[in-house]
Amino acid sequence: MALSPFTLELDSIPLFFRYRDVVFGRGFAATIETTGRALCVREDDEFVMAGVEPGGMAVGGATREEAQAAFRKTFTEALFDIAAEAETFQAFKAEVERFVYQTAPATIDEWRRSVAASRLAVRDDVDVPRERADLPARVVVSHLELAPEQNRISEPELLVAA
Amino acid sequence: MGATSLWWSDVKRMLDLCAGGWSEELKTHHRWIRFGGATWLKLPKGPGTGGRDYEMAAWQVRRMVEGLAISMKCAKTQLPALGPTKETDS
Repeated sequence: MALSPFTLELDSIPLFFRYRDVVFGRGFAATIETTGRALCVREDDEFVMAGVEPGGMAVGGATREEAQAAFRKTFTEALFDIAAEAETFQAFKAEVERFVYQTAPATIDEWRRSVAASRLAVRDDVDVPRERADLPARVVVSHLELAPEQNRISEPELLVAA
Repeated sequence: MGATSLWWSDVKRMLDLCAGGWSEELKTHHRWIRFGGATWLKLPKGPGTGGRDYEMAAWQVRRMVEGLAISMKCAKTQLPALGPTKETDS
């Protein structure tokens, strides 16, 4: 079993996440590369991954890993919901940026408290990927250019097993 | 032990009283709640259609109240299951 990076059981762990999504909308395709912030916290008898940026979603699970996986899935579903209604790529891009950068004062305060607590509890002898806590969220929404030679989805390729 | 839960009809009543002008949209995957220029994208849809009431975990509502910067004091007054009022509640 992996060693915990913390010297004690924290109620709230501040996390950065990096996701890359590909979404198809009305007449466009886009890649979305996101660096966001979230808190993994205990809520009643569940673990909850609560977005800080994006601050408009929180997802629960029976374990931390379940909550993190559900958050990942929900993030992509949110992009799908946005794409379903965006008339153009530009409208989609603007709405995704609004979604990712949305945050709230109470959530930011909670992030700061969680960072302070985790700094006191982090172990120096465990190598875990870390990021500066003041790193801002970032989302890059790009129009996906589909090159014709990469767009051959209906040409079956048959190989003989030899 | 089960988590504390709230009925959607009670949550709507709280929104009417504490988040005037709020609106909702049923999307493919989730129920979106908009208030004050912000959007909460992850409230359970429940049965979705037919207007049937359904329950959701209290933490989901508490997180939405924070995320939309709705007055927590007001929300807790309407929905005591959100927890006792704290001095830090606005």
